[in-house]
Amino acid sequence: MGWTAIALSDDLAPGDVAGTRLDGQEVALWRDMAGVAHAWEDRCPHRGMRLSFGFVRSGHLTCLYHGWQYDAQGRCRAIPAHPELTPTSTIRPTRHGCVEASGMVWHGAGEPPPDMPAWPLRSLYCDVAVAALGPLRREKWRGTTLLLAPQPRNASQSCLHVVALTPPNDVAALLHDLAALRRSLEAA
Amino acid sequence: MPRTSDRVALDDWYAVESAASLSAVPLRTRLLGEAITLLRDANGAALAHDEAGASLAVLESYGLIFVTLGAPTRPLVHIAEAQEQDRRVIPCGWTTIRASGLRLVENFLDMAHFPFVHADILGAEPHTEVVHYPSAIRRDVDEVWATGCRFWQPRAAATDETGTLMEIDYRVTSPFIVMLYRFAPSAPHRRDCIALFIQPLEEALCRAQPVMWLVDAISTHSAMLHFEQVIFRQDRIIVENQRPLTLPLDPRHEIPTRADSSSVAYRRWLKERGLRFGTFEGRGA
Repeated sequence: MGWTAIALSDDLAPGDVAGTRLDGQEVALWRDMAGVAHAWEDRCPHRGMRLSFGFVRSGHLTCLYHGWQYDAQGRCRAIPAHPELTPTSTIRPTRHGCVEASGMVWHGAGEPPPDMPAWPLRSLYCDVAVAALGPLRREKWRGTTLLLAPQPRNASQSCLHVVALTPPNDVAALLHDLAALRRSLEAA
Repeated sequence: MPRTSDRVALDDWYAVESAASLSAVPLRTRLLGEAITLLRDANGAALAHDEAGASLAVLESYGLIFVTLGAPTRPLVHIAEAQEQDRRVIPCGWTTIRASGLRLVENFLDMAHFPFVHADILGAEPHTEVVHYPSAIRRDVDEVWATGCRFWQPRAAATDETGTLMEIDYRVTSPFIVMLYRFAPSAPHRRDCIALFIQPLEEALCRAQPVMWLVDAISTHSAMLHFEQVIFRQDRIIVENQRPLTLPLDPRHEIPTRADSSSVAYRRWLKERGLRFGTFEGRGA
């Protein structure tokens, strides 16, 4: 099994929590205050609430429903309904493999993807199946080398994460080209 | 989706419409997967038919129309406060929610979420503790009760400006009807009564209406209505984003804590009754 880009690193600041889908599976994505990105199953083990609706407090991902806090290792550290209680170690959301490389957050397992200097451009959300986006690849646009990384969200929606691997000459023009790419994909 | 084959779900009463909304003009709605039609006859009596045109038993009570697709073994819930003449009756309107109605009942029973979901209204940090309360399946009435629940609420009702250590009793009278009694901030010797009536449309889709019988001579009707609607909107965000959308009854599926004792009793009661509609196990996926 390999790695799939699920966000641009630049779009996930310390303390941010976001939700995404990968092949129909809901994933909670968050960055702790030490700067480490995490991808977890989007479900609090307590009452099933999506953790992507939560917030980061004291460096812990905190569930919106009851404020249960999980540290970077996924251990439950606080249950506000019982402030004196030390949560048992069995309370843990399911964690997925998550690494950062080449300006992107990747989900998966195995040998990590190559890490190169990168300049963030955009994540294009497209209402088309991932097959239409083509494979993970490098392309030269307007003299700039881009890394294009497709993410299947579900059977009919996808996302193309794009960074520059060389300093981009004309960011505005590249963003314009990317918007045009999305329109052409969705019109096809 | 066709009518459920779940006998337990079929043999029960469900609120399906506001009595005031029903006229000679037929209304189409759904119950337990089945399309049903509601209307009043020339004498004003409420009627209901299933998809095949067969008549369904109908009751009109609490300002609502109740229907069953089966043969209920128990009478409709009795709410004594609804008979008290000086109560303000606030029907809060129907809301469609993309989740099992059972998730909504459990949310209604839950105090621990007040400081997070209803921040600065029904709860506020750092007052997050849920102190022990007794909860039980009451065999004498076949209902789930949680009594003597206490929670600090900064603004427990439309009249409450200063905060209250609220005392609440919770009562589940059927799988899709849940109530609470709380001491009325404006009349400390009488209890407000709020019921949540749920119309299960599909396994993970329902319509619900809170009805309040309040002891409140001060607030305007719209202030009381608005108050409850704000709360309900906040809860809707939660239940529509719980996974699964149906309620798991297997205790290994989700991890409770002491504050969830009413939820644990409710799930156990549903399991004992053999209810499958709206449960994760019944859906099989």
